[in-house]
Amino acid sequence: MDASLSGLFTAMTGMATTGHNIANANTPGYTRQSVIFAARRPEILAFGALGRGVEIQGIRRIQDEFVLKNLRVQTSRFESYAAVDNTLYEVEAILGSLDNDQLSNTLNSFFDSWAALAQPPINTSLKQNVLASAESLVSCFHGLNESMADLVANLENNIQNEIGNLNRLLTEVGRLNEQIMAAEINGNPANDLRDQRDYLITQVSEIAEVSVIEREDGTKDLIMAGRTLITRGSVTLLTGHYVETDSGYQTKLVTKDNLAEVGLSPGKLEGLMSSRDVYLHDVRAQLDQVAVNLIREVNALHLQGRTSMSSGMEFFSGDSMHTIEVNPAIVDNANLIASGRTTAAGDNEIALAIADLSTVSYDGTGNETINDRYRTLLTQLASNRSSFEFMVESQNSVVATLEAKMASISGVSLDEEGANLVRYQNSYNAAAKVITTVQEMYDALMNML
Amino acid sequence: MYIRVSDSYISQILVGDLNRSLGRLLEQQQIAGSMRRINSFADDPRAVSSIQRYRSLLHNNDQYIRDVDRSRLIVDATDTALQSMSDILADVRVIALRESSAMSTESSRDMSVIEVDNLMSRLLDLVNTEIEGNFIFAGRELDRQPFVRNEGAVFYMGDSDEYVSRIGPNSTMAVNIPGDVLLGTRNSLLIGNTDLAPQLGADTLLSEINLGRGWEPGVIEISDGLGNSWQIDLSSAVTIDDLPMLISIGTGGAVSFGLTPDRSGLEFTGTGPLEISEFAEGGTATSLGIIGVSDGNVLGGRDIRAAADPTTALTEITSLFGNLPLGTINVEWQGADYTVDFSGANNLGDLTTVFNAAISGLQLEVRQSALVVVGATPENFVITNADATNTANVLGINGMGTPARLFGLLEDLKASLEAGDSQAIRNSISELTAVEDVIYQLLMKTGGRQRDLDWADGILRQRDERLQANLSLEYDADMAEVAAGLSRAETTYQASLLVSSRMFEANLLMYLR
Repeated sequence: MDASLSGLFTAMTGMATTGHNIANANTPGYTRQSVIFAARRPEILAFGALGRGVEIQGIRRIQDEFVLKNLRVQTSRFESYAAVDNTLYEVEAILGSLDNDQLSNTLNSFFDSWAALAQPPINTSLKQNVLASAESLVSCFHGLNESMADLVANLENNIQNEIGNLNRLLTEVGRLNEQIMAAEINGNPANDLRDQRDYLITQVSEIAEVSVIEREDGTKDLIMAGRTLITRGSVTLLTGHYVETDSGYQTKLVTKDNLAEVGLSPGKLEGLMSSRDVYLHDVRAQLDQVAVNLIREVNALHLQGRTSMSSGMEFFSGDSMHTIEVNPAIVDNANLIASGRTTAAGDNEIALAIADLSTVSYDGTGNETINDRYRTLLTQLASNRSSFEFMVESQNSVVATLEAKMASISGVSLDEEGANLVRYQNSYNAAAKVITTVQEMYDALMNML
Repeated sequence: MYIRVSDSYISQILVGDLNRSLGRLLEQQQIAGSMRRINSFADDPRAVSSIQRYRSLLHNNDQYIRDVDRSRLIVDATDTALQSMSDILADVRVIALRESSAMSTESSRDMSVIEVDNLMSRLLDLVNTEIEGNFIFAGRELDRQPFVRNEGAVFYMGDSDEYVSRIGPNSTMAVNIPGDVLLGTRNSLLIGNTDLAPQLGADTLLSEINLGRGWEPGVIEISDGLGNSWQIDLSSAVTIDDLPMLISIGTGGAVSFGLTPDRSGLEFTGTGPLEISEFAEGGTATSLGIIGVSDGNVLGGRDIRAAADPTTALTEITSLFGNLPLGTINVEWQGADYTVDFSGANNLGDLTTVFNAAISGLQLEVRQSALVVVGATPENFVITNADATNTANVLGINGMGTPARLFGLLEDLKASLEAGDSQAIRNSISELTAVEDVIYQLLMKTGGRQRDLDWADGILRQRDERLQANLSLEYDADMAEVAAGLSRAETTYQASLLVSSRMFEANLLMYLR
């Protein structure tokens, strides 16, 4: 009777666990649970050992720590690549498509306007056209500079958001550590709390790769790039601190309490910072260089020119895409644009030389032209985009494979749970039948009295 | 061994597969919609660089074509004006011949005076020809009317400078003719008629061939009668001497290279018929004058000699072969006789140095591979042979240098007609011949420029076609391939959707009661 009762209880527990699994089949981070059955210690009698039924040794989570750890590492890398890829995609969108490349088009228009000014029959009123195309080019540089600055500002916002998310997740993990420690003090695993904690740690890994060390009391320590962020319930929170750099004020990751700089491990945060500090910085530097080359080479030629009203006048001012401007005197009076070295209307030497800057470097040494410099930038951008797109795709496959592996190990199978349900139901029925039979036997015995 | 299939596992796999299928479908649809193989920089970084380069080359090429078209306006207008001037001078000659004959009467001379005056007015209109606000004979002062008639005299208000236009990559051409050169109101002139361009030599710089226009470094394609073909990169060549080794190595010795017998161009020898063509968008073969197909085993190129300059050695000039050393010439200038001894000259610079040192007011110059003698004042001078070497003839400067005193000549003719001075009228005919010679030389020059523009236009349009073709190869989608890919991607996606719906349709719980 007692053995049958234990069967009833364990079957009920099995069904409850199956119900729990089915209920959480779609819960993110849920790890399927399984009841561990074992035969009770038998009663030793003179004729042998008599079985005493079944007992539950525990309910365990079905999980592979190695796959989980690997998944987190690969997720960190995926998020890092994806962050850079997204930034490069936005840079590409700012510069324009192959069919509509804004800076190339305005550069071409600028050089075309000089070529038109030099073209016979010579029409000096086309100086107004040169001025218009130069102002359009300057606007294009300014527009690019503003778009790049907006992109940097967006990246800064994203960095701050991710630091906030990281702090929130770390705080949650610390809290769960304490709850698990308290819950498991009697030796029973707090499966659902562990699921929640693992899920949060996986989310932390998306932001930054962390090493996880589990203590005997069930808590897990989190270490990022050599710095311990969580010890049991104690959490080191982070903050974004603005420091002055060559590119202006930028966010650096520091600890909230003593502002100690924190190293970055791969992850979304590192990808965002790397996008800002390496890739976007490089694109801006190269665009600045295009502007600087343009200013230097056009000015070097225009300084040699003269008009009836001026001589030795610079065409552009400034030293970057942000500061480039057309000489204000020329903006006021386009007739100050020099097309030749003399005042003769047919002297088109300077205009020809400036028009040729699109194909020939000013110093004539075969160095890269202004267009070459910009083309180099686009090629590098294309190459980086291609590399990161490939890395994102391949890393996505790795992560998808590991997630599938995790789902295979820890996911809930409704078929399996259905079969278990039938199994436990049958066990329950059988145990109940035994009890009924014993009841009948008792009844028969009682009726005999 | 079997893999445990959980519901989330199925979901992961199916969603992943669906995303991949949909992604491929969208990718194919984007290619089909844009008809471009590349829609993002990441699609093919190597091609992005090539496309940008082809785009840039095409854009510049379009600009050069516009430059050539615009240059043609000036050159053609100059040619038309010079032709008209030539016609007017022919009319003047008829008048002068008629009025210098015995049939001339006072009445006919009076009529001729009016006729000459009308012709002068027409000439004045011609030399003040204006195209889109540019006076084409004003030098660089093209916004100022160059010829002004004041109290019976015509004054030149322009300058002596030419202005240039681009006609190709690293290639420019002077497009106008300054009026003082045209009409010689400032000096007298004798233009030599011997071609002094030097033969090609091993050390001839490729940057100086084609009369200084240079060449286009790049790759050429060679094929021979045995069906072999090679692509040979000549970019590293600096002089003519660098070419044989590149071609020999490139063709494995199957094609050899040399100079044409007159050393004016390049020559290839191999198993005929040899064909040399451009590779990709290049203009290398054209600039080396060797594009084409041979009848036999030898493919000879066109004349690509460099321009003569003061450093050109006399021994390098074909037209001087057999005439060296040079001898002496006589020069009559401002009433004095000079003898200039060229026997010690080794190069064209020696000729100009000796001549210019010997005679004050006359200048010997090397212009466009010919000698030109310029008088500082508008006075006649005469150059003749002084010995049996016939040096003046050999150098093409035997003759009279005259001021192209176009309007002065006509004013004098008018005065002679009014005075009834038959001898003066006859004398004006010889001066008229000198003026006609100058016009003829300028017509030749303009004709040469028109040919250069035609040549440049042809090269640029061929280049445009090649660049368009190359750009298309890199950029445009193969529509047959895209249609097949699109159909395949669509089928795959539909199959993925079908499988996904079936996978979620059934599970064990549905069959339990």
